[in-house]
Amino acid sequence: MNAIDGILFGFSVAFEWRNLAACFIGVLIGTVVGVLPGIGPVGAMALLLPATYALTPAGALIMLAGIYYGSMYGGSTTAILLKVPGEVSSVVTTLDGYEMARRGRAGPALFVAAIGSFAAGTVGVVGLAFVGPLLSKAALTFGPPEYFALCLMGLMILSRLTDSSLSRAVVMVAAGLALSTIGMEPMSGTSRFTFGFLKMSQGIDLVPIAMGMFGVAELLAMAEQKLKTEAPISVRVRELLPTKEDWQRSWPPITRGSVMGFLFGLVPGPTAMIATFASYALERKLSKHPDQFGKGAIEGVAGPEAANNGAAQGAFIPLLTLGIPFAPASAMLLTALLIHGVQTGPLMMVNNPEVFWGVVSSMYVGNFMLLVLNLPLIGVFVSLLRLPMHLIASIVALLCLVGTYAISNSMLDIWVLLISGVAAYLLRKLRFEPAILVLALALGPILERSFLQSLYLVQGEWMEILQRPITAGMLVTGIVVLASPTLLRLGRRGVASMRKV
Amino acid sequence: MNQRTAGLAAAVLFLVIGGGQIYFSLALPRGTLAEPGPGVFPLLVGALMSAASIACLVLAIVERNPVGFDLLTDAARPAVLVAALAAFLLLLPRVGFILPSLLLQVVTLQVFGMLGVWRRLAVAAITTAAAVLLFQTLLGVQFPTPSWGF
Repeated sequence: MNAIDGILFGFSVAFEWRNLAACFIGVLIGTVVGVLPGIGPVGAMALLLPATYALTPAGALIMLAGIYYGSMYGGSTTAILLKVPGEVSSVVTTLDGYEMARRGRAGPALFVAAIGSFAAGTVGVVGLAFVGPLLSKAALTFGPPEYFALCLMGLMILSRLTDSSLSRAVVMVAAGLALSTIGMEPMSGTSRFTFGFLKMSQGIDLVPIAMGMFGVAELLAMAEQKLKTEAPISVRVRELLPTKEDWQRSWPPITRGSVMGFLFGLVPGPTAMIATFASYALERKLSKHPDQFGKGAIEGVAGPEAANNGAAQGAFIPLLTLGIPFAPASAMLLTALLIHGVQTGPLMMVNNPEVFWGVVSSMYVGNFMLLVLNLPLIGVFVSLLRLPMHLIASIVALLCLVGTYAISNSMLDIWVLLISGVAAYLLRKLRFEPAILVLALALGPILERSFLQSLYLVQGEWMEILQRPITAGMLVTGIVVLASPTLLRLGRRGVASMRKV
Repeated sequence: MNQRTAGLAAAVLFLVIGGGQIYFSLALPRGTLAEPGPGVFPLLVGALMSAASIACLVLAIVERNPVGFDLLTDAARPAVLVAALAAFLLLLPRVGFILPSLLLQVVTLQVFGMLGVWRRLAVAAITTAAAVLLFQTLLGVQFPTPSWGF
């Protein structure tokens, strides 16, 4: 199936009424989650996982994906109207978006943010449709050593792309991998580290840990200060349209941000946030009015908003084509696929084309729905911001507990939720990044299986693994990224000493 | 608490976990390089964690300007919230959903700054009723049943 046929087939799946409803519910919840601080998209996806049991695998993935990219739209609303990013990748939007709102230009800021997100969504869908099958075909030649190297490269890049120092990041990687070794070993089925608890032989579930680390930890951080409900700057529908000058200044940053965001999305880590900073820096450099940045430059909203949505779409590629999650949200989608019995990896496109193409095309439908939700209906979401924050926070606390319990009616799961929430709260205080742990936990079983299979394959001659060109390329890339700050420092010193000479 | 002390404590804790992982991995069959056993991967992970923890330990010692944070003041309200969540978990299998949910809501509303005991009770009653309706009635979630049957 070529890309055009695939997209058309995908639309036939996405327009089935159940999938259309799943998409709408997903993007609606995503927008609400993006608007309201607290639970975040990963927590919301985990919370709604049990609700997808009644859906087909395609429907489940369509809904959960909708929550993720929907939150990118919603996050900009609070960033612009309250200077509070609803989602971490909207931090940059607060700089110029809120300044625009303060000067009575909230409407154009929201409009450009929504159009930028839509354009990035379009680029993302086209990218997914064309790059996805190519990557999937290439991945069919991958053996266990290539998968092992890919996971290892992902973890190495992840260790460098977060705020944590390298040693703290590696501790988090190791902690996630250590948790993934609890339960049955993938090759022999030997029980490990269960300490007599039968339930633990099935391994530690990703969902309670993700809910704890993204939901409960956030609530604990919110509890540190008494929450205030701030009145957002009001905006009317007729004030939304930007001027001709706004358009002229916005479309180049939107184009650049969309492509840049998509490419960033392919890389492991919190790339949506990094893409927004990179886009902001680029637009400031290219702008004829760099002095206006930070004081309400529309380019400072257009570029980053396109970039964060582009990255959200790009992040689906490693998951849908290789079966490897490079972001916490992708890890939740992988969990959903496994629950629904879908074989992940490059063969998914052949064995479950309705899942791959259905999700790809549904993203376009979902982005269109989001455009409607975030422009004419913006007032509805703005009114959500008037709800008392203490009420929202206490409801989220109850939802985290009951939602986690509902997944498998297990008390152990909610204890894991609480313990991981407290652990993540303390880890953040100590400048460790719990998101790395969650991702390493998701990658752990794939890494271990491919590692053991590789050793069996080469009969212990491990140098043979390194002699495979793709494997070597991936590992070298990972090592270069890992060593990049040291290499740059050495390079600068070399240049400085040459100048002295 | 000084950030240096907290950093040292965290590094030592992870070092102990890494050491523990190595210790328990050694009890598992390790096989050969050609036929690796179930103990190999956890052993490598334990070694990685121990090495990284030692690096964290060194960093915590040599860090020039450790940022301080007052753990007791910062953590007072979060500690109450953790206690309320733990109480919910302890009570749920014993007395069912309604009472722990009411209690949790009252405490969390206070932690997050809602004024007035009666208001908190009223809101807690409404949200608990909504949760029962949504999860138990509509979604069919089976909460543990209390011994006296409601």
